[in-house]
Amino acid sequence: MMTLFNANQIDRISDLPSNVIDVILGNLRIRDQVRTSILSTKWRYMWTSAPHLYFDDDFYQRFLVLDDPGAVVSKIITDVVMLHNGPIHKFSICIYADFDFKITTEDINLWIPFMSRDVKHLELVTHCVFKDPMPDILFSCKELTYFKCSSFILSIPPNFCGFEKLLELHLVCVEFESSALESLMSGCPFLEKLVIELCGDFEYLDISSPTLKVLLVKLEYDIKSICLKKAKNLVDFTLDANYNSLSGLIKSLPKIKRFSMLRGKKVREHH
Amino acid sequence: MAEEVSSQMNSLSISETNPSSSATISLVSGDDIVFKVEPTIAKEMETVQSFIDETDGKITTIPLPNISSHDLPYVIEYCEKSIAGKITKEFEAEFVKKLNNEEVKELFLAANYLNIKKLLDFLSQVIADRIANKSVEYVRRYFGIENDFTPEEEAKLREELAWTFTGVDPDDEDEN
Repeated sequence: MMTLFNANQIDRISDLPSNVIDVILGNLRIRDQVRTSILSTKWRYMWTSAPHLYFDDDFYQRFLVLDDPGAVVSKIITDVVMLHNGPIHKFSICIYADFDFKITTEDINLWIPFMSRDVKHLELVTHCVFKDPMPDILFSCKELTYFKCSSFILSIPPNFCGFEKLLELHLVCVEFESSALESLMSGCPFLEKLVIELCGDFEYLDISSPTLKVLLVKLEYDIKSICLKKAKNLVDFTLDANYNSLSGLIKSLPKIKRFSMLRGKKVREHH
Repeated sequence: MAEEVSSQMNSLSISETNPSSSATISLVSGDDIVFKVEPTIAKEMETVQSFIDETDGKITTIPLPNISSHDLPYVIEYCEKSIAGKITKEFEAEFVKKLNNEEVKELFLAANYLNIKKLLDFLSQVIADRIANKSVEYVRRYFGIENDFTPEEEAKLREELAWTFTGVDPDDEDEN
């Protein structure tokens, strides 16, 4: 049997360039990542240049025993973001479990300026249903290619210049101010995938993105009208909602390859 | 001189590819074993390819002093799969099952040295998985890191970063 560790092994990892170690650190969850600062003096600040920061259920649930875990968690995230030194390309807060954690406007306004110039992949997802208007600072993240957020009221600031690089957008439990979704979409010239999940009750949905390939719409309420006339390149469409006039909808999609209807009054149709 | 070395290397060759093919590239491990590979494999290894390019393809025997004959076949296997477009989750799971911690680290260093991005990314994930939720002591042993903090410094850091410690795996004896 081979032993796991060679007693006389030489540490060749610690002397690797930081961008190589960053690749390992980037695959660690936040607690493991930050804990590496206790390994040795060389590692003391190594994690602060890792370009990915992940906060997930596993992280959050460690604080459930506290009286006010949300406040402690917000403070820790703030500390991590402020200690971090270097571009943050990926920033994820994904607290899916039923914890009472809310990402406040104040939090966003504190954290996002540290990454708005560099962040490409941004996830701000919690289970909380209490909704605030989406903070304007989020619209200044021009490098975004992937954006997922939950529990906000979407209103587009007048000076929004678009997400020119955005490929994938997930809106979960988001409410829309009048025509906000249309304005957002028109600011995303390369969007390929859009997921709208359990968003507030709106009767009409007009998706006019010509670059869109994948669309998933999951709603709690009936929807009266879906217009996809301009989404000419849509190949994969999943609809999970009560909807009546399917046939006309599908006929307007010349490139559709896969269509899934997960619920509805009409029988599923093949094209 | 170069020819002499080269012929000596050929005699050590354990490759199955046709040695008469002038296009093949000879990779020489740190312990002087020659591995003959197709040029497409060399292309996957950016360090090797740029060496070939710099010499306009005249030199096809590449010494890789940092990589042992034990590790090089793994690297070649991964590159072959990569070219064939057959890097699947199943392949990666099987691939990594064969490797002990020391080998994972050696291959990580090799992937870095040869500049094979896919392999480096994959092994980073493997290393991250293997040190996930492990104690500081375990990770130090895993990497062979010598703790150079004073006990006071370390105690202070542990206190500051107490939130990173709750529920960490107990520092068991090393398993294999």
